[in-house]
Amino acid sequence: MRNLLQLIIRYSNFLLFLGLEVVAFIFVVRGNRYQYATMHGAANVVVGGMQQAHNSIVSYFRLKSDNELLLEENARLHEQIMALENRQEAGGYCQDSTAGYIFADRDYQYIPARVIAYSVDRHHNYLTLNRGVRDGVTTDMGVIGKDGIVGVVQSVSNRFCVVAPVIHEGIYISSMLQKNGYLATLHWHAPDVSRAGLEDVARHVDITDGDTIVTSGMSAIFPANIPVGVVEQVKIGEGDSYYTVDVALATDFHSLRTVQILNFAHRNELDSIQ
Amino acid sequence: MQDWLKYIGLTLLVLFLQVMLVDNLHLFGVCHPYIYLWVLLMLPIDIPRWLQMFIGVAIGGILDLFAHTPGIHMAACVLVTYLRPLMLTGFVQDAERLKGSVTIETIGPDNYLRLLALLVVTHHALLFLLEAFTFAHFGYTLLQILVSSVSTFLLVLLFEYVRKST
Repeated sequence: MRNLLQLIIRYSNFLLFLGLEVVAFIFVVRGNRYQYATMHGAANVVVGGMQQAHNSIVSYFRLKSDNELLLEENARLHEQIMALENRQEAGGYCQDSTAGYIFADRDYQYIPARVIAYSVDRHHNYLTLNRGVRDGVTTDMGVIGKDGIVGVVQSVSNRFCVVAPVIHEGIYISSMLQKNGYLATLHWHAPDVSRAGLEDVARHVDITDGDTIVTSGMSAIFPANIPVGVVEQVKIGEGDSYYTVDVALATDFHSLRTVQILNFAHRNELDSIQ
Repeated sequence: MQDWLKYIGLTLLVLFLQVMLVDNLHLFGVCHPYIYLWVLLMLPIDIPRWLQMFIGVAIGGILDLFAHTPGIHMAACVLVTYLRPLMLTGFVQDAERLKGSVTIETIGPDNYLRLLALLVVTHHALLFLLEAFTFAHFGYTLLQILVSSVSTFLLVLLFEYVRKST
């Protein structure tokens, strides 16, 4: 017994070192789960506040290019409105009796937000946005940018939220081929932030370079037909049953400054019956 | 006492630079210097080793909060604060008689370079391996470790010489 005590005293520093490493390791393994998100929410007020101060300084230097991007986005939205109005005019599926009626699966509210911190060089990248609980943001909301899909809200504090973007190795996006509606899963691997892989594309599927990949709409996170990317390269080995597909992502995460958070109006209703 | 206030002030300044400036530089995707190793290396040597490790936990924890990397910086900082006294005993004669901060003046340029190089490489190796959490892209991780280590090494030396000459 005394020998054991002496041993413990003699190696106390080493044991403390091991103990602390184990604690740190538990943090690593448990990272991004509920406990961390909780701690994160509390810390977000301080960390987010500092990041916002930093951003408010840096954003002055970006005002010009930001404005150009906003103008571009506005123009595109106007185009979309016009196209929709034309379709309505022509009859389409919006008959007189259903004019002004929104189909349940398209009923999303858009919350504009600004990116105040981001990373692109990790395996698990993230974005911090200047919107939180008080703006109606909750976890698992989709986020899109001007070019297409961005990511999914992972944790929220009162004023800020942290988004796991497409370029996060834990995120899988339910996508489809725009031309034939074939469903596949988009998954990213470090380090190339402009490219991701498309999984579950079987040999019989008609897929070629240049095909557009969009969201499938098979979740309460994103509506259908939001651009995800464009097929860049398709490979299949002699005996393989699935394609290896490289997709050039629609969103450029380096220049992402303004995004929209998608709030699906009927999430609870959908969750309660699924 | 005054030395401690100075050390804490310097630490806060370097941590601020790290999370607000350096973490936002994305150089070629592989070069990510961690300049805070400078203050971790400088930590006064004549305090109990358990306290050094807890200071490592605190500094690592703060960085993890800002970088959204739970535990990763903490693990690397604890490793550095644990190994530093051991390496010092290996390099410097009468290491237990050293007082105050570890700087070029207190342990000499040769020992400082050796200690810095070893600590930077161990720190970066653990950090990037934990971050990747896989050996799948080992070549890429290795490149990250090498390039980042060199950049950290040079930046810390730069800081140390600026400090010395002011």
